[in-house]
Amino acid sequence: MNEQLSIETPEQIDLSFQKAGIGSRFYAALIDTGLLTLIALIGYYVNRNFIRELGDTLGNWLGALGSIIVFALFWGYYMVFEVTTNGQSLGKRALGLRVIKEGGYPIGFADSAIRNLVRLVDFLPFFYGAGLLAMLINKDWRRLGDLAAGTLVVKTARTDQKLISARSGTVPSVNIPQQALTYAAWIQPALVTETEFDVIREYLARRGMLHKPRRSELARTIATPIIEKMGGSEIMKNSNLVSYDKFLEEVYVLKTTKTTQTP
Amino acid sequence: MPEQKVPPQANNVLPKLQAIGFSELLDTTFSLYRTHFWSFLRIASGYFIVMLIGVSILFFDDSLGRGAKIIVWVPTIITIFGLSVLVVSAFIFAVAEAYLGKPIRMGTVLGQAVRQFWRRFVGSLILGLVGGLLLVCLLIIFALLVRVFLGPLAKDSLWVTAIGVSYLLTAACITALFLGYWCFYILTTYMETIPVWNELKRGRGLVKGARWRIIGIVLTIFLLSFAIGIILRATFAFPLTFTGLKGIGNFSENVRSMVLWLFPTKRTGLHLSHVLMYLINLGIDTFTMPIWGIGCTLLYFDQRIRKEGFDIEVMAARQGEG
Repeated sequence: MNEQLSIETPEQIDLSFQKAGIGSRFYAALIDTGLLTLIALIGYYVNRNFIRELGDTLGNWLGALGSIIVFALFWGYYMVFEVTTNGQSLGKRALGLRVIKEGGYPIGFADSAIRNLVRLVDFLPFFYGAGLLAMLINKDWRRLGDLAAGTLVVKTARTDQKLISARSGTVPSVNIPQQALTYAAWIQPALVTETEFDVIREYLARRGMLHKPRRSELARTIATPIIEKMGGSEIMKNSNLVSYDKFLEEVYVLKTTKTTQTP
Repeated sequence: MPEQKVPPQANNVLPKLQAIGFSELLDTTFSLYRTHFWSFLRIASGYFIVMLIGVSILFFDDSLGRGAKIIVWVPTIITIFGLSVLVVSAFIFAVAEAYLGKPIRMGTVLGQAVRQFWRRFVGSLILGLVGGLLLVCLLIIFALLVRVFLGPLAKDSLWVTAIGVSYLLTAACITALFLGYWCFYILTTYMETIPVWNELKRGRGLVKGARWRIIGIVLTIFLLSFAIGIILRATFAFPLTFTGLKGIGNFSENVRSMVLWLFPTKRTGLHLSHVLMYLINLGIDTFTMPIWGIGCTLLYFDQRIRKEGFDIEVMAARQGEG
């Protein structure tokens, strides 16, 4: 369901990226804007006496000067971070995002300058209103600044270990001695399809994370059609969790052994 | 022979279900929304119709006597509640179909929504009553605080502020806990077929062990759809400022009216500008409602994958179908 972006470089190297959508980009922008607002407020608080004195000298021009400083702060922040940290502002880094060129290259100074200059238009009339509409229309979720600079935002490689283990655990080495195999006499590994084997492997890898009743239910759901196919329904009539779980373990062991023995 | 469009399910390439992280969940929400935009919008427009009925009645309410008001309001509220249950059910089923890689067929989705309607109606009513009771309790405590403690301290604004802020924080924590415990209640009620009286326990059991993560994500999705709603309101309020229509104020007044739904009743008078702003507001809500719905449904599936191996169950079912 996640949107992939494939790019072929002039060197004919295929690069694959995952596009960053509105949700993650919105929160990255929120972090960056919050941080910049905090910097601006601290800056104002520290220099408030100087600003007051300057206000007496400059009069109405102080507002204009303030606007220029705020613009420079917002523009400079994104520019400095995007150019020096491989297309990542602090907000983007927190959400695992990165700005790249359309061809998959890293973003350069000019690209970043254009991208962030057009950010002003994207920001209109209120917190990225124009940018939001542009992103909704564009298939690569690009805002006006991205379109102007020829850039796009992608996701970086995943480092969330908890999520990786929730996605697919490692199958623990199931090592059952030959004499301990209960159902080996009637298990026919050849009847187990690749898809069924994938389901069994996935179950064995993640069964430790499941609650006992759920584990039992799942083991039964996976095992029942395979048992029926092998004609073992009668033998499994009075089965419980241990039996189904063990049956799946044995199917896995026998199938793996068979696979490894096959030349 | 002309080339035919192959429906997505026909080539048997179904999406691989797997646990998703925070940013992926947000992005998948929008990705799913855009892929099935018109289907989701069609269902969400049911909400549009329900709201229009409610507002029309509210507008003509002033001309009715007390007895007539009760006669009109009671069946209207029940009808609106029932229609909302239907719309939400249809919506959740549509998200589930899209998530499982199936095409969204209006007939199928509405059929599923109509089936077991009363079960869902009662389930929603229970949540409404529990939530309403919590709200009433919080309001009563607030009224007591104002009357007993804040009254004598009224001259000391610091105390009044401190107590008010503490109360608001406590109320916010209680609401967040309530949300954390039963945020999946509606989804379990609508998607699963266990008895209604077991749903509260089931909803609570599903979030157990991941409560704070889920509260955080639910609030994040809510804030995201709310913020997008405000951004769009401001974006549309901007050109409205220059229309010169009667009843249109300046930019900030228009945004305030639209965000707070400050629209006139028959007593205060109605202008074309109000109708226009109201329709824009409803349109924006119809547009943002799916974000909230898709996000929460995806979170429900994600939690079931993490906790119950839902993806393995689907894999097993698909293998059975194959």
